[in-house]
Amino acid sequence: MTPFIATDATLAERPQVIVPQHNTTQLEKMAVSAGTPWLYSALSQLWEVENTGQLIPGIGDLRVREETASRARLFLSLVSITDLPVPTVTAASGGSVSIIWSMGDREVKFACYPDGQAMIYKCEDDEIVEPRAVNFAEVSSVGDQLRWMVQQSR
Amino acid sequence: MPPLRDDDRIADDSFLLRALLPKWSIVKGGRERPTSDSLLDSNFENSCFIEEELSIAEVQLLFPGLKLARLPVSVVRREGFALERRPEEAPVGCLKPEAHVVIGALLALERGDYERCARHIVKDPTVQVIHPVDPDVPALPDA
Repeated sequence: MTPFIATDATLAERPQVIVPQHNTTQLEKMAVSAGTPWLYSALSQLWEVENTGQLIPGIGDLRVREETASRARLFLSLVSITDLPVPTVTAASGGSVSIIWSMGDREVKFACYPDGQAMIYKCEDDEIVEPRAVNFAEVSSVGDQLRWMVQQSR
Repeated sequence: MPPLRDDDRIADDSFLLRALLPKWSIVKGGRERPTSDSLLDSNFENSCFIEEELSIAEVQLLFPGLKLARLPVSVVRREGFALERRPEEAPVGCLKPEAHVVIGALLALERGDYERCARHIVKDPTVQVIHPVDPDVPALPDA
């Protein structure tokens, strides 16, 4: 095999490499058009978590698999409440993703694990009051915990 | 891999240091504490360092710019977590690899129970968050 020598001429002949950028997804467009800043922020944070995670000796493996991030996006797409606070999206060691909403004394945490399981935790006064496995097939129930959190402020 | 056994040579009154990523601390009720995510791992193992063997300053050198959680061993054990030395998994540059331990449940837990245990640890009032040293601020002279 002829070695590649980087002269001006050879460089000009090489196809331009296009580095993938943060493409605006349909979900993000929806977030903007529907006026849901929490969703846009959540998707941006999720993109960052998915694309910047590293294996850090002494801390853990923060690399998030595409399937895990996709399930988190699926969950976000199923939340039909527009009036939510901006959540915090973070990774935990081992490649799970957490999306956490807080409002007053109440908090809802959605966690998506690399084995495909997903959980949602209702917390009050910083205590878990209900852990529940997420059933993506039951679209109507996905937002129940978030509605519980929002109701207290009304 | 989670700890296989609890190393009882690590005293209950000692402390563990855990490096915190920027989103792994939160202010609740006016007090800063680590988040439960900082102590959760899909394999039920989290890296920490024994403070008596590797000082706060030495751990800060390994993780510049990051906050540290300071966890009493007694609190970690109270929630059912075990501690096991893993010198071979210490990060490159660690001055005392023997000080590196992993903590986690000896038996596999349900996700909800694991989350609850981690939350109880980080909420304990004796758990501290230590901020990184600002290189632009000169250290105070010794009294």
